[in-house]
This record gives sequence, structure tokens and C-alpha cells, in this order.
Amino acid sequence: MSWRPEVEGPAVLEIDDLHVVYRLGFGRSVRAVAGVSLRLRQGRTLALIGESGSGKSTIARAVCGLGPIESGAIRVGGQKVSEAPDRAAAAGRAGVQIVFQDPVSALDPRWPVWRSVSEPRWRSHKRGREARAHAVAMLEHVGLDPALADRRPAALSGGQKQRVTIARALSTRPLLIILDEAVSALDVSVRNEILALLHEIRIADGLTYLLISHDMGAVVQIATDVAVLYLGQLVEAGEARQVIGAPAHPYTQALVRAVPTLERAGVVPAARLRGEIGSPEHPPPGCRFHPRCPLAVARCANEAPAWRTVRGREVACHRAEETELVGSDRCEV
Amino acid sequence: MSASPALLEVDGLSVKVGDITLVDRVSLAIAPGEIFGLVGESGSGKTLTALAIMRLLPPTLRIEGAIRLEGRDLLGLSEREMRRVRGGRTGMVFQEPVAALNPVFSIGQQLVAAIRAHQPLSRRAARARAVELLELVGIPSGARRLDFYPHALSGGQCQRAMIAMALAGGARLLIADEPTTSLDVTIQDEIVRLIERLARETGIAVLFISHDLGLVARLCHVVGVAYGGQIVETGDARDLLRGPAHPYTQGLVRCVPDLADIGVLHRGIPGYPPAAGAWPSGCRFRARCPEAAPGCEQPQGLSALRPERQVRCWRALHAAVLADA
Repeated sequence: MSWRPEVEGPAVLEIDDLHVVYRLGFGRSVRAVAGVSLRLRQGRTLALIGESGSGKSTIARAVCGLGPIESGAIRVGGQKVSEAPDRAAAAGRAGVQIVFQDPVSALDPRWPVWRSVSEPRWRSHKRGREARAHAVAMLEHVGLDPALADRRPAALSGGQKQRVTIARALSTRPLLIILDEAVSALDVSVRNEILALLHEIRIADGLTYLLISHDMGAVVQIATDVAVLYLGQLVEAGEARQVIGAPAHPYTQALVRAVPTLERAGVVPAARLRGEIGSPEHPPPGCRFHPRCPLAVARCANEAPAWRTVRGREVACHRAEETELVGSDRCEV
Repeated sequence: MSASPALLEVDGLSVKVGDITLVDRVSLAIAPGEIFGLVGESGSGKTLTALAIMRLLPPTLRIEGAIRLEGRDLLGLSEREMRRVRGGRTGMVFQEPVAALNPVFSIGQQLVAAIRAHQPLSRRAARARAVELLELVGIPSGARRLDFYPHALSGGQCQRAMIAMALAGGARLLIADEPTTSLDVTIQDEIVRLIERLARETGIAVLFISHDLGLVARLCHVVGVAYGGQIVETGDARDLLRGPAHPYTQGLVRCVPDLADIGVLHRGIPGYPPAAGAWPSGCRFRARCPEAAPGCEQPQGLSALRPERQVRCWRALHAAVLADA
């Protein structure tokens, strides 16, 4: 399954037929990512969505060299980072930075925050007065008062700490920032402020984001493109307004409809999924989603659906032409 | 809020440490079968309120006011009597279901212990009751699942098992503190359906604590919005979330994106909530409020805007009076 939109800008991230296998011991193993290909061009924000167990975090970890790879290629800014001896260092040199969910454990509690911000530059720049000045400038760039530079993380609020980790990610002038649930632990009002900041920085610095999130409220606000994963494979990918606005895959439809919003106050989502995602250790035959799919027919259990274009986005579903008909039903209780 | 007599009545509940007030005169009432949503950001006092109702706060924290469950004042009970209430007439579920279950005992052992702590049943009868409870919360083939350990269940199944535990002693009040925050949206939807069904079919009252307004709009009948240790607005859930009167509630509502608005940024509320106990004088939201004006430096009382809606903002009350005139 691959998603290769006709690119105009240069591709910042190219993933080709990525497989990730975790060994469980006793001869057991799990193929957490099973043949995913993606291309992300400069200036875009691609959100990977799917339930836990879908493989979205595994892909993020593979890209920044923090997780294993079984086979496949990853290129960042044209440089192949998937075969380097130290993949994390190679990804860093190619311009990948990551912002994690929990800023408390991502910052050294003993260091003044400017020092954490300057740390990624130590490999390539001199330390000293210039390093501190640069770190302070980065803190200002993310909307923090420079007077906070000498504080320790404990003296900052959760939103301020997350701004510090964003300043740190920006300090090496990266090409690609991976936002791994970066706003999930924040209160909604603070979350929106950070999302607005990320959006402004992307425009100002020409950055590219890979957003890993289970928070659809964050995805709809900043993602330009969305790729939906189920049990380690892509099921749908395309522009956000198509994938989220009018999903074609029954799984995407169920994910989007399960999100409670104020417009749907008191509305019970109509289509619901049977059971839970299960383990990628024993993926179902045919379409991996068929045991939970409200539209499944006999063919879905026998034949893996081809990856094809339907209504302007890529989707893997035998019945994608028919999903538009059930795309808008809601029921009041 | 409701015509039927309240199952839980909280009246002027304050939580204090020394001369610092963390929760400031919170009042709420929940009728049988009713789901009350308490919403607010970190530090707003919503979890402290829940823990105070269960009297689960450390002794350094002082509780004032009245908490009546089925007419009985919980603050007057001895610790021994209170232990019969916790897990008996009331049950509680938390955010991390996997962490809340004991990993070294099977689901069945934990459920049987919870049942026998409150009911004089034989082991066999308690086991049969445990199977019933698992089926009530939507875990099929309960008899087989009893022997499962928590690690063998998914997060959603663990939360169902936690709800079964909370109901094991015959609870009439369920306190759910962010019960779906660590779960996927699809599983969250299932847990929400379960809580809804339990309230409707068994008539339990639910205090549902959440920071997710969309979720509260989906599930709750009545809402209380907490800010700075106080309730700043309360009323019928749909009515309140469609037409919030307090500037803080309005700000929270604006933070929740509609899934149809793709690519639209929803600005948050500027600034940060005050740290617990370090409340600003006057209206506690004043420093972040886009509509702050002279008059807001006075402490604000919670007053009726109209029947079934109270708000802690003189400007909202004033605007309503002008609109009437």
C-alpha cells in the first residue's frame, strides 16, 4: 500500500515498503508495520491516525531511528537514513527532530531550560555565550519570555514546558519535526495555543510535520494530509478535507464518527464497530478490517483489497464506491 | 436540577489546607439515573471535589459543607461507616484502568473480593454474581474471563472490569474521573454507551469528570463548569453548551473544533489557569477574560440567570436583564 501524491515541492520524507517486526521471544513475533509507503512534501503536515496497535507510533520511531526496521527504505530530504549504522544520528543529521507527549520527562529537571534548548546543537556548534544567546532567541521564537531561560522545568507550566521542547526541536533548523502526541497531555485551551504556534512556525520556517495523534481535535486543526492505519497497514490516505471531511473507508468513517463534538451533542454515532482492533500478531486474512466492518461481504474475508483512487483519495476497500451512501447518516436518540 | 429527589446532594463543599481554599463552596445535586458532567482544566478542583465526596483526601485537607447521599450526611459518618459507603453505595473509576487493577490477581479474584467485602455471600455465590456483573458491563463469556489477568485484557475491557468492580457492592452513585482519557475514541464510545445504559437501566446517578466538552455534551444531562476551585456556570448540558453565558465557558466551547472545520485553527484562552489555591482576587477569570471591565474586581457570586441556569459573572447577568427589558 503506498501513498504518493503528485508532488510539487521536494519530498521531505519518503517511506518505501516499510516493515517493522517485534520479536516477542519463544519464536513469536509481531509485524507491527506491514508494508507502508508514504511520501510527505515540504510544508505539509501529515497526520497518522488509527487506534493503539495500528502502528502509527512504530512508524514515527522508525523514522527518527529510535525503533527497529525489518525491511524497506526511509529517506529524509533525499538522504537514506534507514541503512546507517547509527540510524538515530543519521536521522538527526538529515534534519529530523521529535517532540514527545510528556514535556516533564523530556526535559532534564536539573538544567536551566536554555541548556536543554541548546543541547541538540552541541554536536555541531561551539558551546558558550553564543549557545545561550541562540537558545534564548529560540525561546522567544516559541512565544516564551526570555526571562524564563534560566528557570528549571519545575518552575514552568505544562504548556510552557511543551514550548521549551518545541524550541529545542527547532534549534538545529530541522527539515521534519515528528509531533508524537505532542499536545495530547495539555488542557484544551493550552492545546489550541500550542497548535496555533506550531502552525505559525511551519509557515514562517517552511517546516514539515509528521503528526501522530489520537486527538482528532488536533488533527482537524493543523493537518493538511491524513493517513489512516489499521493493524500495520494503510487503509486510506489523502488530503485532510477529503479523508476527515468525507471518509471513504468504513474504518475512517467509524473513527471520525466516534469523536464526540458539540455539534453532535446527545447524538449517538450510527455506525459502530464490532469488537476491538486485536493484535497484529495474527492479522485476519483478506481485508484486515473485515471482522469489525459493518459493510463486510464474503469477498472481504478472502481477498486483500487493492490500493486505488476513489473520490480523489487513496483507499484500500472493496466497497469504497458504496461508502458515500452511508457517509452521512446520523441518528438522534 | 431535576424533579425527582436527589440521590447525591453536595452543599457548599469546600476543601481547605491551612488557610488556602482549594475547592470553594461547590454545590451540586444528582438525581437517580442522571449523569452530571463536571468539566474544567487541570487545577480547577474537579478531581478534589470527587475525592472529597468519597472522603478520600489526606487528613491535612479539611472538608467543609455537607455531602448527602440518599439523605445521609457523609461528613458525619465514622471512618468505619464510610468504608461501607465506598464500594458499597458508591463506586469510583479512574483514568488508567490497567493501573487501577491489581496485576497479580485474576479479574475474578478481584471481583469476588469486592463483592464479598459488601455482601455476605459464599465464594460460589459471589462468583456467580461476578459473572452477572461482567455480562452487565458488556464482557461476554464472563465465566471464562474471570480467570483472566488484567494484562490479558485490552484497555477497554479493563475499564469495563473496573466499572463492574465499582458496581460490585450495589452502588447507587458512580463517580467516573476521566474514565476514557487513555482510551481510543472507538473504545471511548463503547464505554460512554455503557455508562449511559447503566444510568438508564439501573438508575444509578453518575458524576462524570472530564476536560472534554464534546464528550460531556454527548453523555451528560447536567453540566457544572469548574474554574479556580469554583463552579462558574451550571445548567442543562445541551442548553449550556449551545449557549454558554460565562466568558470562560464560551472560551472552552470555542476551543472544541467541529470536524467539518478542517484546517481552521481555534484559538485557545490566552494565559494559563491560576495555580490551585493561588486565586486572583475578585472574579478569578478576570486576568484571562476578554470582557473584563470595572466591577470584575469584586468577588462574583453564582446567581440564577434563568430557571435551571446559574452563572458566576455579573456581566452575563446584566446582559440577560438588558435583553429582557
